[in-house]
Amino acid sequence: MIRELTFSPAFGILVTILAYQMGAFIKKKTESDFANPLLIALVLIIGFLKVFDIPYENYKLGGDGIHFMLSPLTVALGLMLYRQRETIRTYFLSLMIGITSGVLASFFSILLLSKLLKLPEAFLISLLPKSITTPMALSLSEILGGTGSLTVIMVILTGIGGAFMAPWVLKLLRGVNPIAVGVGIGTASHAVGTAKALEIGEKEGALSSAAIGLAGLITVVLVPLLYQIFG
Amino acid sequence: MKLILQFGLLIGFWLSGEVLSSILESIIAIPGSILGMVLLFIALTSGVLKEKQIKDIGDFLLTNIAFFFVPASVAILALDSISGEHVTPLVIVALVSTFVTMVVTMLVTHILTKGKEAKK
Repeated sequence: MIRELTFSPAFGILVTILAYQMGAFIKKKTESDFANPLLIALVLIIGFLKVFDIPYENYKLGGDGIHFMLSPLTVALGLMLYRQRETIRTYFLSLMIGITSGVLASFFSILLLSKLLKLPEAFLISLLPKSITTPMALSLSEILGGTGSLTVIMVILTGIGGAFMAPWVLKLLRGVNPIAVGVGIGTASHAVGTAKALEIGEKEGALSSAAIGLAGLITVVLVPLLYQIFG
Repeated sequence: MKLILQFGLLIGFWLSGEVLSSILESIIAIPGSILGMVLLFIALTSGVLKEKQIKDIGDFLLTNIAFFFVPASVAILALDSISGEHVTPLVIVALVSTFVTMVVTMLVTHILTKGKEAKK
């Protein structure tokens, strides 16, 4: 009986909703930078499927229904970018040059480290989009021929890592101005890092938010070209 | 009704993005949904589309971004080529490059905005 229920798309959808709600609840209760709702949901679902020996394919039936919304979600980022137009206009040049330098630093550090640690090429490709917001990172990973799921997990790890290291980087680079702090956090660690930038200050938060969408766009344009030349 | 119409608009921008993507394909490969995002931004900035005409569906999606990625991350179960020995290098590359990216971006932006800071 239970087994049969898992063949309905309702199963995967309900499991996802419950796991995500639990993740959001834990995040709210602990207020910890490490309690990422998406990561908690991922661990809960994988654990649940393993314990009850439910095939991934059964989960996927419902999961695909949620997954479908990713493309409309990516389009909706245009609204997010529109809302930051004032910040973008005011700091346009700083944002563009700062982000571009970050995108290059990200590309070359991933390339170099992956070769050094002898990671398979498919994993290197999946890592390349990791600093940008998940919807754009997933599209880029698919275009480059990477593994979407690995990219998504690396994006989460990058966000959590970035939020964690941001205050520490500020101590290291004493006296860096708020504009640079915001652009740096947003470019390196997308929305998850931006939550930390908003805690640091209003200006830092605004620039970090504006950097998310722009860093995504610059990465999507530059990284395929860079990979063709250097990859 | 309002939500359905707004959703339709969003899908319309997506499809326009796909059309643009296939036109640009020979020059540069950019996913249709990302070009849809750019087109939506242009429509809003130019005033062709008002924010309130897309706001409800947009906010619904934007405030719940992470939820829609749960299935995409669970798909790691279907990845056979990954094994325990890969975990440490993956984590090292991800974290070290995030650190490098953050430091480089901050330093470059700081040097660029040094003079401007006082004026604003």
